Order: sequence, then C-alpha cells, then structure tokens
Amino acid sequence: MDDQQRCEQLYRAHADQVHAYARRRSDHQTADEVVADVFLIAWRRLDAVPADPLPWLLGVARKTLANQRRAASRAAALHSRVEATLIAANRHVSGDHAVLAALATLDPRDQEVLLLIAWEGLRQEEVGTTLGISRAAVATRLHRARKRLAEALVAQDEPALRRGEVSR
Amino acid sequence: MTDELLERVRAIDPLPDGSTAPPFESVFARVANDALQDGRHHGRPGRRRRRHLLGLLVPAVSVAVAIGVLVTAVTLLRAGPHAGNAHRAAAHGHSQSATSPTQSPTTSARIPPVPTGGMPGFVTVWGAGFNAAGNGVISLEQCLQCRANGNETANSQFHDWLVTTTNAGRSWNVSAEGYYVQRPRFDGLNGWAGGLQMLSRQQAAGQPAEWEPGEGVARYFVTHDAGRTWSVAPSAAPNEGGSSVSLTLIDAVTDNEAWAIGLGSQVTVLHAAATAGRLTATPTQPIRNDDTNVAVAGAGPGTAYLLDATASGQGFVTHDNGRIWQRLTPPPCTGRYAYADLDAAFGQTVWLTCVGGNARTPELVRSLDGGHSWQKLPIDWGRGGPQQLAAVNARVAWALSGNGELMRTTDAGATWQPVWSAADARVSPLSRPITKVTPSPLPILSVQSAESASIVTLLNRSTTGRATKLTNLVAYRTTNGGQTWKTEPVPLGSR
Repeated sequence: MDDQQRCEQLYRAHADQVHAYARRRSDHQTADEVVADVFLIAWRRLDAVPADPLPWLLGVARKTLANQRRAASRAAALHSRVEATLIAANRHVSGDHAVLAALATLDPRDQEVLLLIAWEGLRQEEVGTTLGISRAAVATRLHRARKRLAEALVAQDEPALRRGEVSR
Repeated sequence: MTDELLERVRAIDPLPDGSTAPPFESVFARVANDALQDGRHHGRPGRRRRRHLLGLLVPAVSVAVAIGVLVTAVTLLRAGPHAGNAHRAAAHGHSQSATSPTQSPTTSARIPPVPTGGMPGFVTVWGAGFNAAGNGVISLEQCLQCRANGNETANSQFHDWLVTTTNAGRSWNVSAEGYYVQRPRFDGLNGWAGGLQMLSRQQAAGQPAEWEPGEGVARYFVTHDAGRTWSVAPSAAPNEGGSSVSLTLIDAVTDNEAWAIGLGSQVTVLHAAATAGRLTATPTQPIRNDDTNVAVAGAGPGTAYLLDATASGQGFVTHDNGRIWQRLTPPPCTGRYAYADLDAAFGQTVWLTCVGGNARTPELVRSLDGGHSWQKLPIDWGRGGPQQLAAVNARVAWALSGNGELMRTTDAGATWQPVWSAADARVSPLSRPITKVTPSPLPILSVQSAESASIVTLLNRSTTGRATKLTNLVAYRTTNGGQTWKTEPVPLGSR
C-alpha cells in the first residue's frame, strides 16, 4: 500500500470523527479547514501516525483549532470567528441548560477532558494522547471535573443532587 | 462521575449524530494530484508553508486578493474593449473621474485616492510598522501561480520581501528577502518583530529532517537601525520549528526592551533588552500550562503585564524583569473569555480587549491603577469586532475594527470619533467608475503618537463589467490625529 492509499484509508476511517470534533468547537467552514489541515499533516508525517490514530489525529486537530483561534485574535474580527467550545455548543443546544451552565464553570482543561470522553468517546489513555498529557494527569483532571460539575449543579439548586439521588 | 451525569453531558452534545467530513477527493486528491503531476514531487506533498506554520494566518486568508497577470489578461480579453481601456488607462495614469463606492460622510473627505498601480499574483501583507521619524517597514509576500483564492499549487512560487522607507513612504526600497515579520515595532533605532525565516536549501540541511527547503521557521527578529535591516534574534523560545502547530510571537515592545510569549507544549514568557539581544525565559513562569490565549505587554523598564485569558482571565504584573509576578484583579470581562488581548500598557495604565464568554460582545477594558481596578469603556466595534487597539497614553487611543473603521479617543475612552474608514479608500484615476473597491479586510494599524498613525492596506480594484483586479499596496498616514491623511502608494507594479 503506498502513502496515498494509506492516507485515504486513514481519512475514510477517521475523517468524520475529526470533523465532528472540530465542528463541536467551531463553525462548519473552520471544521472543514481543520480536517484538511489535519490529514495533510498526517500525510506528511505518516511515519509518526500511531497504530491507534484517532487520539493522535484529534491532538493535531486540537492544536490546529487553537492556532486558528489565535490567528483570529491577531488579525481578524474576533467575535465572528472565535467561539469557545461551549459557546459554540451553546447555539446548538436546546436542552439541559443546567449542565451546560455547570460545564461552563469548569476550568477549560477539565472541560476538555470531560468532553473528549463524553462527546468523542475516548478512553482515558486516548485522552492523554490527544492532549499530550500523562494518564495520571487525565485522571486528575477528570476527578476535578466530576467534582466541580456536581458542585456546580448543586449550586444551581438542582433538586436531584440536593436530595442525593445522584451520588458523586 | 456517575453515569447519569455523564449521560447528561452526552445529551448536550451539539452533534449527537456526529458529522460528515468533506469527501476525501475534495480535501486530498487535488493536492495529491498537484504533487504527483509536478515532476518535483512524488508521494507526499511539500509543506504548505505559512498557512500552517504560524497558525496566525489561517482565518486571515482573506487578507488579500490579487489576480495574476495571466488571469488579468484573460479577464481583459473576455471583458471586451471597455475593460481593456480601463486597464490601459489605469496603467498609464490617464485621468478621469472616479466614483467612490460608499463614502462615509465622516471620513471620506479626508482620505485622498490612491494612484493606480498594481502587483500581480496573490499578495499578502504580513506586518507593518512605522516610527515617528518616518521610518517604516512593510512585510509582504507575493505568490505567483497560486490559485485565485491564494491556495498554493505545486508550481507556486513565493517571494517574501521587506520593503522599507526612511521618508514616511515617499520612496521605498526592498531591504530583505526570504523572511517575513509580523508586528514590527521600533520607536527609535532598536526594535523587534516575530516572524518566519524561509529556509534555503543550505539552511535546511543543518536543521531537523522535517524542516524542508522553503519551509518557514518561527523566529524573532531584531533591528538596530529603525527597521531598515532585521536579523534573527537568538531566543530560548520553545520553537517547534517546522511543526505545523508551533507559534512564537513577539507580543509587546517598549523602547529597548521586548517581551514575548513562546507557545509550545508550555507557555513561556520571554524577555530581552535590545542591547543584550537574546530572548530568555523569565526567572519565574507564572503560567504552568499550554494555554494558547496568553498575552503580554511591556509597560516600562522591567515591567510587564501578563494575561492568561484561557484559564481564568488571570492577570499578572512584574516589576523586576519577571522574577516576581503579582496577581491582578481579574478584568471584568463578562463570563469566560473566548478571547482577550493586552493592547497597551505603560506604567499603571493597561488597556485590553476581550471577547467574552457568554456575552460574546467585545469589550474594551482599562485600568489606571496597575490592574487593581478596571473600567469598562463604551465603544461600538461594529459587526467586525475589535481588530487592533493602540493606546499612546491614559487618554488617547486608536481603535481599528474588523470592518476597517478607525476610531480615536482623546478623553480616556469616554467618546470615540471616526477618523478613517476602509470603505472610503479608493483608487484613482480610472477610466471607468469603480463598482467596488475592496480594501484588504485586514488593514494594519501602526501608531506613533497621539497625533500620528499609519495604516497599511491592500486595495483590490474592480471596475464595472467583468472584474479587473489589481492589488495596490497603500500606506495612509496622518500627523494631526486623523483630521487629514496622506496617501503613499507602495510601488509594487514592477515586482
């Protein structure tokens, strides 16, 4: 299998997930750009793509998105471009505002761990690969995220939590 | 986390059914074909250089649009004799009246038109800076055989120039090739910039294997002659070089002192005196993560403000070259920051813009007591949002919106007066009325004092009928607070 075929296989297997990751955090056009960037980088660095490629691809997507946000701040009209994770999500969400609001109170890094697990379906070690941090660090952030999310929901006067129906 | 809580987080997934990426062919095959059809490449494509490297540029692709000579010629042929006449008249400077597209009543009378000219290819301005003595530098890039939208092809040729002036734009010289700079700053003789150095084949040979000839490598640059020449400044920045996800930028300059943020796997605050040259990591690093939304602004000898907008809006100040960082009162941006930038700081005065969290509304915030207390200032950024703010003291500031509207305050931000508008920028003379003059969406502001400022922008000129486009690079300059402007076209037609 030559490089191009390998890359095509990689794309067909994972492009939708990379696109979904970017789409959850940006607009459609940006998500398309991120996908193109991520797979071009993957193509150039095929040798570096691990056997389990998705976390690696999401890690590249994450940095590409960050660069785009940074770029937006420097040169372009900011608010039209820059949409933080939950702010972007906010537009599409009609449901559980309590959870959304509680998530928004979390440290962005803790948020990221949580959302990579909940939305992207990654395992903890995969989250570590995506974020470039150790599994221990993932566990720490996840623990903190759990605790704060529950606390934030309590602070919002969530009856279920106050009654202890949801254990921590 | 309980399963129930996790389920609730899953339930607010904005894409519960996932999403579909563009077809493989549309993303990939074109580049692959470019590479394969070009005899120089077999297999993987060469790096697409700048778009990815500094990351600064991706959303800024609309920075400039120009049409190559060939495209222009074809367009002229298709457009028929009228467009051809327009082109020839333009090329020879024939004078006929021009009609400005949309003239703002507030600023149009102050902004003279730009003589015709034009540069073929896809032109991009990466940075511009001027000082009060009339020295200036513009960093620009021309891509020949790029696609009309600026996308690179296998045959694309890039040319990067620094063009400089010593007489406020009356004449320009090409001072360097092979690298570009962003945010060049020099008040006197010494100055700094961040940018990319394009590696020659020889230079690439001495670098890590993934750095290919033609690749841009993030560098800091320093000048000691008011911007006429720039050299690579040694740096301890976490330079990830050819990696497409690296970024390092000079973020602030005060006279003979530079502060910068190195962004890599961890945020690094860097500091240097121009005389020492080398940018070194400050003794204490107050940010222990890889947040990407970090800004620094120098405020006087040894003094700088630092804002970590991603994490918590936490600000810091140092008065001893970065040994001790004290926490500031968090600025009152609404909700979490989507983005924030430290725009200017001097002594106890700090100006910052933030695009905030749940409010999404851009805000302008200022402190007059070194970050102990903050005031929100009224300003209407318009739909384009904030692009650039340059404060020269506690009372006078210039603010450029993303729509190309330049405003100025002389009463500490209480009121703002429009002083320049990209909508009024126009090219003349032309033999036919202009239907549309599109300034570069991203004019670049350089402020020298309370009264003096410069704007560098690209004008893409269209005439009626079929489009006839050429790119004009223009430097506007005022020395009276924006009451009147001089127009200094940068002669690029022969390039």
